[in-house]
Amino acid sequence: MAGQGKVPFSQQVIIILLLSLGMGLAANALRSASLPLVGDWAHGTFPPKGEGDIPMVPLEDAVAKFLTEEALFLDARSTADYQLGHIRGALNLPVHDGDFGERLQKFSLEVDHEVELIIYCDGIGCTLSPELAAILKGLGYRDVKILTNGWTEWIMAGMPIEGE
Amino acid sequence: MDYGWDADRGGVDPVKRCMRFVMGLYTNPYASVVFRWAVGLIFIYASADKLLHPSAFAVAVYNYRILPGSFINLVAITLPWLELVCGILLIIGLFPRAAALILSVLLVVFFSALAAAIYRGIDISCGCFTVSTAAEKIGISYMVRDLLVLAMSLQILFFDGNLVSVERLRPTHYR
Repeated sequence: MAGQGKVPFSQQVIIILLLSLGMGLAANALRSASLPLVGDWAHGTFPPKGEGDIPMVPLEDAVAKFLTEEALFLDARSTADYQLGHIRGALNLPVHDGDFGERLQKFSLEVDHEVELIIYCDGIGCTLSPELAAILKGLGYRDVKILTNGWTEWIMAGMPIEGE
Repeated sequence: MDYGWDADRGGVDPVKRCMRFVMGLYTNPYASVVFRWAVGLIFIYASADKLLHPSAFAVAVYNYRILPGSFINLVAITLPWLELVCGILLIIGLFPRAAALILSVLLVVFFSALAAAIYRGIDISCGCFTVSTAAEKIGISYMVRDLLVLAMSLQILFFDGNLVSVERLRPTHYR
């Protein structure tokens, strides 16, 4: 039969697309730091999506993890606020600053997905922390917690800070 | 217009001659072999860093501010594999025209994304070959580079003659 076994052009395209999709999904499922299929990139919305999924960490626990250096502290406030003063050793990921994307990209290259992260901003109703937490969860970071009203609580507790 | 030649004496317009020569090269099936290797290697190389660092690539995609948030991770997970698969298929010459069609579409999408980012003045790194943020920021030269690869990819799509390829090994009636 003429043409038997011939793969039509359109089917070739579909085969390539499905093969790549399958390989991508399989490789992602197999890797230790797999990405969730749908990340949370809708930041800037209120209330932030996924806020309910992010656990809060009590101040005492945060202090304990600070002293044992078990967790990495992330400051979600603006770079200007961060420079004025921040929890000692905290990294700055300013969710609403213009260079956030570049900083996040660098962060995701340098910080392992297994690292325990404690995020803080300032004020009880501050939405920066939940926004940053949702984004990091969406990038595959497993252990993300929020220290509510973190900056104020930290100073009131007289814990170590650094900055200008 | 006076090109300094005389059509009545059977001369040929030098511009036309030059165009004909270039088109002859471009439509040559042997050029497809060279372009298949070139485009294939470019995309295999481009896929490597993204395959190793999917979350950084996801942020690079996000930084363009074009895709809806729910699609970003899926693109970051699958696009590098699509680039790798198409690159390999081009080099071994299996379904090369289908691979070239997919890559051509991708290159048009990349071109649009670059153009949109530059037009909107978004200061980002390309995320094309490396997801490192130390890479230089995007500019017009990135769009020109994209078009050059697109020209090669379209040549494969339209003029590939299955030379030096796996397609040759299959019996004619299976092609």
